[in-house]
Amino acid sequence: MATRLIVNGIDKAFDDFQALSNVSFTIEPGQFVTLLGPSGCGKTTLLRVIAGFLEPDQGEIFFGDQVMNEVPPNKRNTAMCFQSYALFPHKTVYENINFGLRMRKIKVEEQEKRVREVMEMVDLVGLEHRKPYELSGGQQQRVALARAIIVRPEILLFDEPLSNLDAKLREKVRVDIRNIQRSLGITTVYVTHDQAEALAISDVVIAMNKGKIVQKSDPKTIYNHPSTKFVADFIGSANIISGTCLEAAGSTAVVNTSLGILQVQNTGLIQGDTIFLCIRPEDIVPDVSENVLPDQNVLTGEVLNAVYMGSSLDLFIRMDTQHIVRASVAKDTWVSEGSQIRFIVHPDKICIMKG
Amino acid sequence: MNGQLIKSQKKLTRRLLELLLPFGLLSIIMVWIGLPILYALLWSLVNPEYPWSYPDLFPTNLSLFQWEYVFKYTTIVKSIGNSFFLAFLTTIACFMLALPTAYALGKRKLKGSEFFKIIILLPMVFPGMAMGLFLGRMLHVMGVSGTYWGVVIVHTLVALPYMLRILIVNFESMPQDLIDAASNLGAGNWVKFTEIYFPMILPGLVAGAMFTFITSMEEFNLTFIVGAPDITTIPTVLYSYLGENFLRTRASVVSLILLIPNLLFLIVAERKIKTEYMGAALGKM
Repeated sequence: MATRLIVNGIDKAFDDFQALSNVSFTIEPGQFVTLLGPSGCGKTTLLRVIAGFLEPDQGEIFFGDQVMNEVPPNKRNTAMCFQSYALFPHKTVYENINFGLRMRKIKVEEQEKRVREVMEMVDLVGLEHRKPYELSGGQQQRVALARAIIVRPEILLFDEPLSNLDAKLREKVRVDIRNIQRSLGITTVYVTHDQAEALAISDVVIAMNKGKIVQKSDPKTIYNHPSTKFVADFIGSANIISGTCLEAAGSTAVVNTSLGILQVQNTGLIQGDTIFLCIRPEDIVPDVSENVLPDQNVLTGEVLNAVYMGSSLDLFIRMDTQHIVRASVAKDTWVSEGSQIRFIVHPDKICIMKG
Repeated sequence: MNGQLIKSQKKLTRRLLELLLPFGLLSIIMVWIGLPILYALLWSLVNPEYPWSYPDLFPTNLSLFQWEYVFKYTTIVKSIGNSFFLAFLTTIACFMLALPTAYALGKRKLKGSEFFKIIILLPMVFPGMAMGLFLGRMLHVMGVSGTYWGVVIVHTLVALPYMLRILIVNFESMPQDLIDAASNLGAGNWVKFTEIYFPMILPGLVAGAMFTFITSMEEFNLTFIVGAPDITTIPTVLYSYLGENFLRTRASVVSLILLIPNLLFLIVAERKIKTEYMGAALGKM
């Protein structure tokens, strides 16, 4: 039922600007995939190429086993939710939602039935005859969603659909979108620059930078094992430090870093390798005990700032090497600024990245 | 204490300004537009047997003599018909020409469209008489002077910039997302035009049509050069009373005849078409 989306070697340039270079990936039927990256990374361009609004310079788009390159946007069975919602301002909510069905020449009774169903699904019943400008932002967003899902597209596309909503609503709507997508089982491509949104909503996150795919993984992997400095830095907050491998034997390796000598997992390192390490702030654990465990990295530093975040306490710790490390600890930890702190970083929690 | 005084003084000044501004505007409008109309109305009603002269503030005797005369013994009825007919044809012609041009310049963003936009506005700044003399000759050579075709061509030339300007702004301010959304949902070119482009530029179209219609109704120079003597319109009749055989009473009648349809048109348009349409015409969507 659901469709596999294959993007194969897509290049796209605007004048001198290379927006996409050699982008390839496959999305399995029914998967929810997020294109994540900073503005200008090519994610929206890629979405528009999939929808058919832009023609790629190179490469192919497949829906299932069918090449879509020559198919105009109105003949591709995709449906898109725009960042601006793009509701037709002169049409009512009903007419907006019904538009795609009318274009597909579906029988009128069937149209009415499906509009009613979908309006119930997105909780818009009673607003049929309003014009878009008479709706709140959240309602407009739901009309846009309803207008897209009602046509039962092969591929559902989202272009930063939540960026115009306030933070509270955003969290609610992204759960709604996820639930609806799951119940319909439509292959979905979702563009966002919000890493928290990407992690929360996706089966697979594709991180993009400068027109290239940097990493394609499930949310857990992309957060815990970022493959590059860019991904580590862009997704969540991270302490990124450089280091040189001193010794690699068996399952552990020893690395000389700006924090001091650290034990890490051996991921096939060779002595002398220059690498980057990523340590998530929440993986830094304050140590109050006096006993030193041999398989732990125990470090000390001075607490420069302790910032109360509500759900956690963020510490900025200056090491002897002057390097500043960020740690996120339990909110009721008692620490005073200016005091020395001892903390532990488990070798498993240190992610090793090449360059 | 002192501060409070200054504050209350400021408040008073603002109140005064709030009162004075509308009052001032209203009086300027009255003097500028109201008085001439009143004056023309009075002159058109003067009974020729009781001339209106100094020191009478108002005519001593009113009659409909001049109105009857103008309608009975001049070509005014035919001219009114001509004027409306020409204005109608001009509006249609402007619409047909402006729609694709505005689309190309406003939406397609062709190379050099900024340059074309300036060229398009040229007829608005060109003196009508200067243009008319050469154009008249050209149309004469083409064999259309003295015909409806000829007059419609020159009226279209003069009125087209207004229509174009408004439609270009309309097309420019139309979000590309709307067009993309329509094709994304399965709309082909025809549906995109009839259901998205057209309704969205309709306000601009109405405003443009109004400008075009009124421009055509009031155009004298080119109508005279190209149309006279075969094709008379309300302005050419009016001007014939303003020359050497100056007849103030009769000119008043004709100028009112010219004014009335325009005023009615404006009022009806204002009533029928919501003000938001005018706003849209000026580029605020």
